Order: sequence, then C-alpha cells, then structure tokens
Amino acid sequence: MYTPPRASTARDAAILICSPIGLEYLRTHYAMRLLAKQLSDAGLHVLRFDYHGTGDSSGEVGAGQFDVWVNDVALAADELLEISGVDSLTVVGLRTGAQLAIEALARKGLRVRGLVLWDPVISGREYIAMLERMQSNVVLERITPPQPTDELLGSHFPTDLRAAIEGFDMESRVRIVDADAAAVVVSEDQPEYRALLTGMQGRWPDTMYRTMDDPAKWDSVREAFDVHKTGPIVRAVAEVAESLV
Amino acid sequence: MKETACRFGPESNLIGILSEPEVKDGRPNLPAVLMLNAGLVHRVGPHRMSVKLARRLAACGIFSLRFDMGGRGDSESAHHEESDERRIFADANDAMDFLERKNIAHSFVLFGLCGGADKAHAIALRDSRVVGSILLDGHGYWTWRSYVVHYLPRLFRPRALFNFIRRALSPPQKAPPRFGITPFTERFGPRREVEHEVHTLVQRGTQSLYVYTGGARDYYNYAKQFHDMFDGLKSSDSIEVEFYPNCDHLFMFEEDRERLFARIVEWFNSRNWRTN
Repeated sequence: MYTPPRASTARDAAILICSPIGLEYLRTHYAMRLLAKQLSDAGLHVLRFDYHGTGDSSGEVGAGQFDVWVNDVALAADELLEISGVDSLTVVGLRTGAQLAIEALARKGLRVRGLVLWDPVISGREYIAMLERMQSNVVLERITPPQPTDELLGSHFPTDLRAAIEGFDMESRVRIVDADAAAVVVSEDQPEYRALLTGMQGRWPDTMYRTMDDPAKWDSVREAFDVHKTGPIVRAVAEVAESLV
Repeated sequence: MKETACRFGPESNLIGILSEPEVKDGRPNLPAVLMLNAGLVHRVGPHRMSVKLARRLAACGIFSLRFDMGGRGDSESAHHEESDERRIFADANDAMDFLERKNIAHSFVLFGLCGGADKAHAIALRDSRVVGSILLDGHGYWTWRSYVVHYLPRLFRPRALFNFIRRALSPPQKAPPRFGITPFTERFGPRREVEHEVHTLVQRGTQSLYVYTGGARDYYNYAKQFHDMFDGLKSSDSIEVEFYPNCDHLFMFEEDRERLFARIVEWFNSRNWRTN
C-alpha cells in the first residue's frame, strides 16, 4: 500500500517498510500503518506490502519461500522508486522483515540511503525455537493434538524456510549492504542487539541505536494474540528513519 | 478468481478486497458474503482465515468482500459525529451499498468472529438486506448443564477442588481474560433480549450458522448449549449450530480452518436464499 507524502511537506525521499512474517505480521499490521502515516506526514513517500503467500497477496507459502520473499522486497523497492519518482530510498525492516530487507539489499546490490533495523531477528535459530515453544503452549490447550504439519502459530514454515531463517547470518550479511547510514531501534536493550550494533559500527561508525525500554514480548503467547502496542516505538522508528533520508 | 482492492464509503475511507468468481454461481440473486473484522485484526483475518475463505467461496461461485471497518486495519474513520455503534452500522451499510451499486449482490451474508460475530448479529437485526450470518464464538450464556460440564470433572480433581474452595473463601478478583477473548459477561446483552432478537431474525427468514470453539469454553461448553440457553426459541431450520471443542478461538490450525470452510460452503449451498 503506497502512502504519498503530505503535499505541504513533500520531500524527494522514499521509505520501504518490510513487515515481519507469520503471527508477528498480524500483530504488527496496525503499527506498520501508523508508521506509514507518520512518515507520510513528514513528507516521505511510503510503501508497505504483503509478501507472496501472506496477507492480501496472492499464493500460499511453499518451497523456496525465503528467496521469493527476498525478490518481493527488491520488486517493492523498484515499484516504490517508480511510483514516487525519487531516487533516495531508505528501508525499514521489523523482526524477520529486517532479515529479508538485508538479504534483498545484499543479494541485489541495491544502493540505499538508509537502513533501519527494528527489533531485528538476529538469531534465526532462537526465533524458530521461540515459535516452537509458543506453539507447544497452544497445543497444550487442545483436547487432542493437531495433525503434524509445518505450521507454526497458524503460518506455514516449510523446512527450507526454517533453514534459511535459522542459517541467516545477520552480522555478516548487513555489512554487505550498500547504505549510506544505518540504525537499530529496539524495544528493549539486549546483548545481541549491542553485539549487532558493534559489528555495524565497523561498517557505519555513526550507526544510531535507540532503545525504548518497553519490551515487545515477542515470545509471549498471550501478547502474541494482541495487536502490538505501538505509540512510542513507532514514533522512534519514524524519527530515526526520517533522520537518515 | 479475481481480487480487487476497493475504496468506498462517504469519504472513500473504507478499504476492502472484493473476491469475484471466474464463473458466477448459476443460482440467481445469490447473496454476497461480507467479512467483518475479528476484533482488531485487519481484513485478512486471524491466520489469514478471511483471505482463504474468500478464495474458497469464489471457487464455489460466491462473491465476497472482506473489508476494514472505520479505524480498523487500513480504513479511516468517517461518520465522526456518530457513536461507535452507529459507525458500525454506517460502515456495514456503506459496504452493502457499494456491492449493490456494482450490481454484485442485493442481499448479504455476514461473517464474523468474536466481536465480529456480535457486530454481525446487530447489523443483521437492523438491515433487512442481511439474509444470513456466520457467527463464530458469538453469543453464549451458561445453562445448568454448563455448570455441570464445567464443575463436575473438577470434583474428582483434588487440586481443582482445593482451588475452588480457596477462591470461594477469598475476596472476589477479576479473572485475567483468556487470550483474544473478552470476558463473556461484559460482551453479551441480557439473555432474553438476545433470544428475542434471534427470534426476530428467524421470523424474518434470516439463515444463521453458529460455530462455537473450545476457545469459548468459558461460556459455551457442550454441543446442545445453544438450544438450552435459548429455550424459548422454537426449533427452526434457519439456525444451525456447530461445536468444535478441540479448536482454538482463532482457528490457528489449518485442519480446523479447513473443517470450518467445508462446513460454511456446505451450509451456504444448502440454503434457499430469500431475495429482497
């Protein structure tokens, strides 16, 4: 969904928003909408989109999905630049959206003005393990367990998708990205975010780091079914993204 | 099957996806299905349930529109001066007007889960263009048998019995809500009032499919509860009830969604839809 800049403040810059996948996609939809509105109010062209087989987009999740989604990010970037007519692009990626954004930029060699990682999934292995734990808690509520499938919390995660997420090396892949500036915005300060930051500062010495001290509780089954609490962190992400363009 | 993103409403403030079949069902005047938001979840529905149901219906020749009501998903609020309840009616009215103007349908079946089911019931009462409703975890009231089903097994579990006695002796505390579901005592109106409303819909010929899941077991815990809680309702062919005790409130597992979709298609095709 393309959100044009508010006419009075229009600037020659665009922001591509890469959403998370699975249950986190559902949970954060409203936050993505708010973010798009705030960036648009700041005069930026904004595009958010659903990856193939998710949300309103066509298809179903299947084999080779990670690569399909990486291509989707690149396609969305091209589309946004074409619609907006600008050539300055900043990419914001939330959770697994950060992985997909980095991989698309690294693999396709796309040059961007800024890269903002928001609560990025740094360890894909821990992320998949977290989803499996949450799924187990939900299964316990059933009278009989469900038929075995590749579903995790209502979304399909085929074996090769899990492997791609688990094997993703964010610290090394992000260094390949051709960006002028980078930032990390997190809901809660964590050692792994600090480690990522240190690595990124080797590539971008001025990498920004904003922490909100307001845990998003991505691993909570109860919270996972609620719409993500938004306000302050969305404002922080918008401010950081705006400062990079 | 064709899907089209649509804007409608007084300020083009409402956003929805229209799903159109390749081949229209041969039956004339078939209603279109209008999918309402499940709580705060946007138009794709929990675990993409609305997307998949819309595509399944289109494959069966049935039109549907899944849309975000004002302030939900990607839709903006309009009718600012109105109360929440009136805005809901106005948004639903805008959606039905839109489909009528496009000559897609002149009668409608509403689909809603949880808060969406409550809205569907209220909209159906108010708008005679609604000829059917699919209500997932909608109204529910305890009956004497609900208490038996709920408490009897606990009598044989010492820990549960101990907790029950402890709670009975403690000052009352508000129980935390189960995830994704508002405590039923706060959601539903008085039982006899709702029974009268259901009766009104039956009299009007509105077809209803009620589906209750294990996720609603705090207020619905056995298959025949619907008929016991609305015992003043005469048996009617226009009401069908399903109870899926093994299924969670948000249909997280594909096998549950598939079972639901198959039941909805079967129910839809078995109705003699009245025309307006």
